[in-house]
Amino acid sequence: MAIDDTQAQSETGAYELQRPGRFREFWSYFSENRGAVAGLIVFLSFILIAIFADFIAPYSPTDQFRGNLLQPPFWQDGGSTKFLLGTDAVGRDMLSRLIHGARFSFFIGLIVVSLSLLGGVTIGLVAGFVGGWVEVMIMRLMDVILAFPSLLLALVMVAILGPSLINAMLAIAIVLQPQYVRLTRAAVLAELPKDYVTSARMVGSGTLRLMFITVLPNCLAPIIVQAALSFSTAILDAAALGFLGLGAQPPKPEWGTMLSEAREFILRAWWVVTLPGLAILITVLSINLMGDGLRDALDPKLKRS
Amino acid sequence: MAETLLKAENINRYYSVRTGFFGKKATVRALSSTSFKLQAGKTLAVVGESGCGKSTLARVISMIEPPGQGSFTLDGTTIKADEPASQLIRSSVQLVFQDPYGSLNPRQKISQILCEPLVINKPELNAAQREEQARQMLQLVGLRAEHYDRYPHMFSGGQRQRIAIARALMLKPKLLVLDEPVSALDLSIQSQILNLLVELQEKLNLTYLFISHDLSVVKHMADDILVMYLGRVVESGGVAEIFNDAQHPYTQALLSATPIADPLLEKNRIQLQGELPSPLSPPSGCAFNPRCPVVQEKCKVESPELRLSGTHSVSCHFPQGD
Repeated sequence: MAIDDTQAQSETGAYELQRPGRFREFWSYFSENRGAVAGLIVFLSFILIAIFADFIAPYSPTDQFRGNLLQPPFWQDGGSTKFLLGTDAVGRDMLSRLIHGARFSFFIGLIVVSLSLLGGVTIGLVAGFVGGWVEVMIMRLMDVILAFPSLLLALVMVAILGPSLINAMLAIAIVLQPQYVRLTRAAVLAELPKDYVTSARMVGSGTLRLMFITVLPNCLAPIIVQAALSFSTAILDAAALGFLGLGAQPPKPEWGTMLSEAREFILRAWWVVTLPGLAILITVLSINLMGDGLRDALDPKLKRS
Repeated sequence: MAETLLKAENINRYYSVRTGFFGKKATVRALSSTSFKLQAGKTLAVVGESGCGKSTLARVISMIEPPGQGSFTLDGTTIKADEPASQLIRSSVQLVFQDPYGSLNPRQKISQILCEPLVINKPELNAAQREEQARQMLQLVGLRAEHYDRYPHMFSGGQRQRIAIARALMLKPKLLVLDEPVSALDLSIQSQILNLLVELQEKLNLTYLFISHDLSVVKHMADDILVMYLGRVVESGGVAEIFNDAQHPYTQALLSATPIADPLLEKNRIQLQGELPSPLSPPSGCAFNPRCPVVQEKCKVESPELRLSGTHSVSCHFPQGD
């Protein structure tokens, strides 16, 4: 007999201990994409700003400085370093409002993604496992939701529920749901015929155990990527709803709401309109770049090995 | 005479498929009236070419799928088409899959893979007891203690198959269905796994239903052989009788195709013409008649029954005894 394969194992054991962990491997793929790393850095700094907004912001976002209405940023004529990015039409400090606005955006992103992720993944698992007419019903319902332009559907729902930030988030979560359902169902259908699922069935795993413990962990990679990308969609949609007056209500310093409040000053005071827009742009861009990097790192089909 | 652990009677398994999008429904006869007995502590090998119903038989016996018709008796309990078996009976049959890369959950550690059957079926055990049993099993299949906390992707094919065997044995089954357990492995690893299986059979008094298309492996492992062709048993008997005195022309052709490591030996190879007919439309009469070298008129009309001829059973109108 040649070498016993357990014996051979002990000789290669030293290499095995040095084998990079899952995170290391992920990072080596992720860091190859420079845009993704830049996106991650910007994203992390936005999170820090959102968490420590109370300490970073020079003023309260709702304090009105009546003597300094529509003051330009400090580098322009008439600006002062007291208000680094200027003030808005009622004299509130733009910088403080933008910093506090980051809180709303991340709050929206987090809640919307969690809601649509939980709901979508559960419905997708049910569709994939149960099959038959249940699956057909679920998938056709999701197709109906997908058939509407997402913002329009969210608008209709907010119009029914009444304009508020919570309702806007709910509406966006429902609009984003079908993507998760489709993704999860497809991944489940790919995993189900594999032998390890059959063997879990043979030892008597119940359906719930099969769904959440056996199959779901193997479907996570595309779902994580989708979650990262829909984080930015959620922020963008919430800002759009805010701009239309159906999301966060003034005086909340939500970026989209700030944009809509400042619309009339677009010719007189560019900073009141441009800065919230830039904040949205940079956040969404950084998250999308990061999501692309995540996709490259987690999707085995795109890996070169 | 050992006691009979498994007795299958006229098991059928048909699948209905649609041919094309608007096509008619057709029936695939994957398994037709298969009967056999399996003695406790013995190995029954099922051989035949691809598509002959070996794996369907494995799935029916391991209760992944119910038999379409017929029934089988396992250790005194009868399993029929329309009566789902209890979990207790199910756990007394376990399956080892062909592909060790697909049969282990890539996201579970070996510890989780081995403990999962216990978590589900023996909730009275606590975590320490489960770990003890899993570690003992790991040792029994020839893996080392430090393998306990690793993931499947860190193992070679042979080691994975050892883990798969360990998982199948965690519930102390009486019958182990081995669905081509070594055909995905290297030749040198194959013999290790086969020796492990023989060893485990002696230690634990296991009964094997061993599915294979490799006759040299079968000769090494089996006590009895079941030769299948197109979902039917064509010949069955003890391993010595089949290898020395094959009577069905298909078995003879199968045996003559086994390579023998002796360049001087004159090979008397029987070459079969044509391909395995589609199980959608099996030929009338004997299923083997379009390819049989000694076919006669009767074979095209009448389907032969499995009956005793000499030392063992053959389903042929004109058994080819020497």
